[in-house]
Amino acid sequence: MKQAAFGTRLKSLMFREFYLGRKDLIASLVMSVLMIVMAFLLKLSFEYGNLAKLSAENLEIVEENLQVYICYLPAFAMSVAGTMISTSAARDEIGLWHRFRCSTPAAPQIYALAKYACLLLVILTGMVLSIGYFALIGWMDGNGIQPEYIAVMIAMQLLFTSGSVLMQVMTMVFRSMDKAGIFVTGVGFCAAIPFVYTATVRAETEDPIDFQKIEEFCVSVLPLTPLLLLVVIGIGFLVTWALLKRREK
Amino acid sequence: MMEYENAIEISGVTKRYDGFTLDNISFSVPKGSIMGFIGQNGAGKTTTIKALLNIIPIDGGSMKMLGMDHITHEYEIKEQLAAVFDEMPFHNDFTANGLNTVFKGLYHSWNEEQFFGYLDRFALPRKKKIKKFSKGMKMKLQIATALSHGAKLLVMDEATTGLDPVVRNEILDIFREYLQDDTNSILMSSHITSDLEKIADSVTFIDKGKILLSGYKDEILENHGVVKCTKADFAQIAAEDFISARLNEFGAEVMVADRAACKKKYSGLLVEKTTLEEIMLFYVNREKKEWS
Repeated sequence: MKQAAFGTRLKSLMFREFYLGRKDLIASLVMSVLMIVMAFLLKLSFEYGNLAKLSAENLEIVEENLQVYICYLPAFAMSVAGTMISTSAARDEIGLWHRFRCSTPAAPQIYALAKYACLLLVILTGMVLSIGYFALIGWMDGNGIQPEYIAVMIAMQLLFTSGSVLMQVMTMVFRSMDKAGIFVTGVGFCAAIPFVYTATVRAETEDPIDFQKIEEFCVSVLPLTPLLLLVVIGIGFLVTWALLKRREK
Repeated sequence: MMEYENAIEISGVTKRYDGFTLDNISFSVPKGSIMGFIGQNGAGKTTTIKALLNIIPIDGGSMKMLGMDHITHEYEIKEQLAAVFDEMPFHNDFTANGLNTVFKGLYHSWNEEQFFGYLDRFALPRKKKIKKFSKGMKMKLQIATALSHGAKLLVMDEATTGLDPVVRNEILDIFREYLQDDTNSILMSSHITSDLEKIADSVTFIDKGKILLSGYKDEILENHGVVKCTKADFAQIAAEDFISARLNEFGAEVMVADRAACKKKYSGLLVEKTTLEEIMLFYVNREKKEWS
């Protein structure tokens, strides 16, 4: 009996993933646009509006923070789109989808591949859009694209993708997005504690952790972060495949 | 395509849980027929179907569908198989159009024209989200998807439960049409025996994980009968000659497995025809023997 072509099957399952996670994608896009609009309004205010009336000292502080906001928050918003895989996983756990899936001629690995192909596509799209945005602000500043922009953007993608993959996998393990959320939040807090502690302690010293240091760190690990991102995606795919293969007892 | 006589062959299948065992069950669904798989809640119908679909592993025995082993040829079988469940398995956010896009790529033989034809026939909207469908509409949508990819075998798990008689009748008509192609077969699990009496060619009755009866429906109905008699007359009937008896203050209703033999042996008693529902009821109480 002939079977549907692999590519055709993959495309239809990717459509399914995007359809289920579309609200996450839309939310990410809307957030990004809002951040960009706010960034430009702040920039205009800084140049010509009320922010321009600040004293020179305050202007320097504001400019530093503004730069962070303008450069990175839109890219941050684009990184959030990866949550679509945990949303689609959560929706799969409702009702009898997993039983129906077992009656279809598509093997578990193609369902997992569809999910992670979508995630990769979303990440790459987010990166391309972010680079486009960096090019725009670089052109407006006259400074061009700075390497630290790319480095921080990839690091953010790594962080959010790791969170999304963990959330999606734990949703499948617990068969509940709520329980997965509690677990991932707990893990996130535990991971953040050493950083927050170090930042707090060093804030009292002459060597505080500021955003410039974070940028420098991200640039120093730049060759590693894209590889780690691919590793996270690869592990997520394999674990998802294994979870989809499991049968009821 | 492999030649086969039986669309489904289940042989000596065992599945153990704490407190329940699917115990060495065997039955076959002949090609081109519809088998009613009946039993009360918790009898093992859904467990059997889950084992067929490889949702759960079995502890022993073998299962074949369309002449192929259900594990080694799993995906080949599933290209020609459609499963329909009692609850809607598709996400509520999808529309019929969206499902068409997904299934078009999932099944090699997906027939879009046929699918939309069924939608029009069932008066199902193409752009409305599934969450706004009624229960009957959801079931019709499931059936439309099941019948739109050239499936040779439909496996239905309590699919007509909770539907009104009008919708159930519509669905049974569709199954009659489907079976006009004598290479198509249906396994339909249900405890609504009246539906199965209308449409099934054969029936398998499962209770507490054991197959109690399996055979042609007309033969089973022809062979079984109910004796309605007084308690005094009931006392004359030997225990090995009846399945079980329901006693009330006026007399007894006694289920016999061989109507002709019973008429011959107990010539003074009236043996009436029975229904699948009564057969199920009396067999379920077979261990008690006498009940009320």
